Amino acid sequence: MSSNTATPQTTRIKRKGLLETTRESGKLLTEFYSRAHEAKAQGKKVAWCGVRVPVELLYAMDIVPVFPEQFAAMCAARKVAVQLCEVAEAAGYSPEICSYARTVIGHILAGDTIETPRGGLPEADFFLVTSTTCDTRVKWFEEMARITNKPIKVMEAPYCGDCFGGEDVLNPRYIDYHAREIENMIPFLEEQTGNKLNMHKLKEMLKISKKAHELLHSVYKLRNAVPGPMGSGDMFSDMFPTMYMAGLKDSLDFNQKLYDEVKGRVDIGKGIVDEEKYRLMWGNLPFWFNMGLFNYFESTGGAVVIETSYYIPVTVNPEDPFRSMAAKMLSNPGNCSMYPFRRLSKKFATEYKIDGAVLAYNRTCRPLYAIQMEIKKYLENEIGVPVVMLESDMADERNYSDAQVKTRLDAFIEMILEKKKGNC
Amino acid sequence: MRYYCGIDIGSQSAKCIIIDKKKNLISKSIALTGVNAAKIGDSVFQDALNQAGLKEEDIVQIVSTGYGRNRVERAGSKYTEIMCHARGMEHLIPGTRTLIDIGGQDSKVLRVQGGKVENFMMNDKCAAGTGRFLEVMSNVLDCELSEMGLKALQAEEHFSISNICTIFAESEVISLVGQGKNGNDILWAIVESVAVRTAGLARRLGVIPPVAMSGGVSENQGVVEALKQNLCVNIQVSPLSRWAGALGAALLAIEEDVIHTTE
Repeated sequence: MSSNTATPQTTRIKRKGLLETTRESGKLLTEFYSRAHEAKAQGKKVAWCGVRVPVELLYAMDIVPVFPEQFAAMCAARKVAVQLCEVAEAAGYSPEICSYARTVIGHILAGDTIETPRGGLPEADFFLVTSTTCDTRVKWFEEMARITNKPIKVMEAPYCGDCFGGEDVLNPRYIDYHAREIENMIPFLEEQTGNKLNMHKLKEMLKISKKAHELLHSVYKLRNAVPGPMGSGDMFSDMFPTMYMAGLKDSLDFNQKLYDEVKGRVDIGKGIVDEEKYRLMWGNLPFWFNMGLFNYFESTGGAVVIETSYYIPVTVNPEDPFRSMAAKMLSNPGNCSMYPFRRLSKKFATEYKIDGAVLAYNRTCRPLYAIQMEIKKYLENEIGVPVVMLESDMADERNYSDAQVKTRLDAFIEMILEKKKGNC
Repeated sequence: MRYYCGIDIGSQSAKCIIIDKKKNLISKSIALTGVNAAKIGDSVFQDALNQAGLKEEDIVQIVSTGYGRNRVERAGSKYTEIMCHARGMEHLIPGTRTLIDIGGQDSKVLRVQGGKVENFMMNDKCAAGTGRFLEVMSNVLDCELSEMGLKALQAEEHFSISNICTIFAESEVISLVGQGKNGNDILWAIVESVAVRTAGLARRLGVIPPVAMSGGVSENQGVVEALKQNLCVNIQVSPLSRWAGALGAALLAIEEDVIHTTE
């Protein structure tokens, strides 16, 4: 078992440059995990959920959701993911599979022998997953259910092909299909927990979820100001309440605070960096163990002002609960094909006035990994900006080489600065 | 006369070039990098000064490049070898549009115009297709690196090395030797293996002629020929192709000085 898994050059993001709201978000995360552990101790049922499981429904049924993918990202940031991956690999899981999967399976197998952040994941009573975004997650969750001998409910989500931007674009048959899958989850939840779904409570949750999500959309709109007021380094933390606490008042309060702070910055023209010389877009998942990379551009006046990951265009609608929860989950470009991801990349690249794009080539995240070259070429042809690809992994630090990444980034920055000087 | 210096600390060799303001080559020095980038940077710098009969004070501006560029404290500026090779090769082979640079431990393909980088791709994940691969093979076959290219061109039988990995390819070559295969034929398979990897990288970027080659491996005539055949395009090499990084750094030193002086 390795004892030192961190490479010395990988660092956490500097707190000084972050929004105050972001700096406080760690507390919300700690509270989230404490509450989950407390609830477990009190006998409430804990569901390990894949992303795109509609959490409003779970909160409405007094179920405690926790999120293995988010947990794996946190383990990577806290430098314990590699040890957990090694446990999984020793048990026979291939190092080629999703590093989130290896991290969390390692956590299950290692138990308390490897300390994990915020007390780890409280033991699952059951597993919930949809088949959106990747096929790996279904097998991963089924595997975890098998190891722990707990029940699992899989919801089928059709890959939506060419869709983007809203329910009016999504095929209504697909929405109906996935809405039925979500509804069919309810008998399973009732059986596992003994709780009944209260539709009124669900609608109240959905009202909050919608409002919080709309606030986040407003924040996205504010972010295209020059100088960029909120970086990707902020959003990768600040997206947590909208994604994982949808329906809870905490998420609404947090997003309001975030909106107010970003608006305040826009009003006085304050940016992520003191003197913004160039603007970048980040594509794909970050390298969670090296969030300090977002600071790397600052010394040359660069700011990563927007990212394509985690953007969900469709909000829920309390008047049409199941279809709208389905539409929201299906609308994320990760659930569609390459085409909407490409178009989102171009839309953001244009709206956020970027000078270049950094695409993360995360080796064990297959659906996002597969399309990066195409997105690179598309952006180069459609927008005409330099695009650099960085090869690494979202959680497995063994796949990171600082010299190689920095050489590519330095050359990329040189290209941008030369272009801006009008030399190219 | 004003003099400018470029220092390229590569993974395998460190190079220093001194030019004058008119871009004439005054001196050049090369040594194996070893483990101390700062020390070797000093050493090649002093050597180039001695050859030129100059003192340190005569050098107006120094630019460093290569993996060890940040260890050269005397450098006023540091640029990546990507930018420096682009500048250097435009000087050596004007009009270059695609530049293939195979160095000691990585290979790059650059789209360039007027010496400026428009796009680039790198292979730095794997030793196969780099100078390191050729070094390993030269040890296995007991053939000097400098002779490898010409011998490969004399091959009569053409076959491929199937292994992608350098280490496994080494075993494969040993077994070919054991089978009594002709040494020149094996050398052709080796250089072609490098060419295949690099050509794949080049195609991903897109090959626009005129194509040139820089980096130490450009001195291997076998690799150059294999690349020409694979890409079906002419590839120009300068006698100073290996020095493109250091030369480009020296040229950038002039550019930086122009910004700061009125001479």
